[in-house]
Amino acid sequence: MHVIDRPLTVLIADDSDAYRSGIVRAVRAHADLELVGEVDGGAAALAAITQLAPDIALLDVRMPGLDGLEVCERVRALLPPAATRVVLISASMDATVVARAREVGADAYLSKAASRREICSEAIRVGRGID
Amino acid sequence: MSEANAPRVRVLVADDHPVYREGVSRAIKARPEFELIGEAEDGRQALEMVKELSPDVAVLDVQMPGLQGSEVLHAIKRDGLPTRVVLLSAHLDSETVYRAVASGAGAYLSKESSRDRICDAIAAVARGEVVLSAEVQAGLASEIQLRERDGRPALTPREHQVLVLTANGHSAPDIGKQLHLSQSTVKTHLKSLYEKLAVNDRAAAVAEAMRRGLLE
Repeated sequence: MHVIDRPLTVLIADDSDAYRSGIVRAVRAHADLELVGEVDGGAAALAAITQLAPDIALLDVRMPGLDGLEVCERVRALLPPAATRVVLISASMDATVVARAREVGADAYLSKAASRREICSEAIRVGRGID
Repeated sequence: MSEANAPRVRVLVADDHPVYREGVSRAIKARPEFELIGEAEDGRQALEMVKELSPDVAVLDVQMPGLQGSEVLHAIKRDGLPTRVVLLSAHLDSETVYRAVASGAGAYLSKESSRDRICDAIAAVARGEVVLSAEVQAGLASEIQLRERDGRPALTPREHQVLVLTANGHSAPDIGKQLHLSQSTVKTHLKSLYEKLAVNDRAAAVAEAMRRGLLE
């Protein structure tokens, strides 16, 4: 376990403008989190993560082009495992998708039904390396 | 009345995903022409609030626990409530879109639509317009075509031949001779045609077949 004292840097990727803006606002309002980027697609997410190496990437599973699972898989192949923690967020809690998330190395999987508070708590939990 | 004095459009938002709901609600609150009068987190609550608050426009997620957005729409129309409905969905399958539009949805948009787009749709629907996002339209058109095709009675090839000859003015004995069929067989085909077209005589059968595009 490694402890980080500074705010955790966060990248947000979601193609839904309304949803993304909600998380952006929550992250900005949270003292322990620092927003470093927001993107509206998988390819942009991958580019931003590899460039910025945020502590946490909050990725929508369903995105055009590269989906959140594919982004996570590529991030795992490109960056050291502890560089960026990945939290996948999805409207679907389908068991096969959740299992796939585990396979591609996601650190957490959240429902889109989660509140902003729950999303921030989960981001901090995985970002601080607390299991 | 000037626009500044026009009554604000009263809007209700229903979505079981709080982050999304808040995103849409905030966008509505930011537009001076709208008044956000309530937020519901499932379909049942949405319907209760529609009945109680009578919003001008209800923005409903299609997939919600309890009552789905499309079921709320159905209840609104069934009860003759004045509230107009904007449906938002992550899934744009053409059958769902078709049913929603046929049930009287004012707008059907992808949840990926920008907040500006959603607000513009709310304003348009409040004026009585119908708004379908571009990604919805192609699916809707193909569903209409599919249903149009399915709506036509399926005629056997022989019934179709009999129909065409009937439309050309041939009598049953003539048709029998041309198709090498007995007169009673031709009459059986005609009887079946009348049933499929829901008519009682040759003239009506031809007229109905033309109307349904069966003679093109």
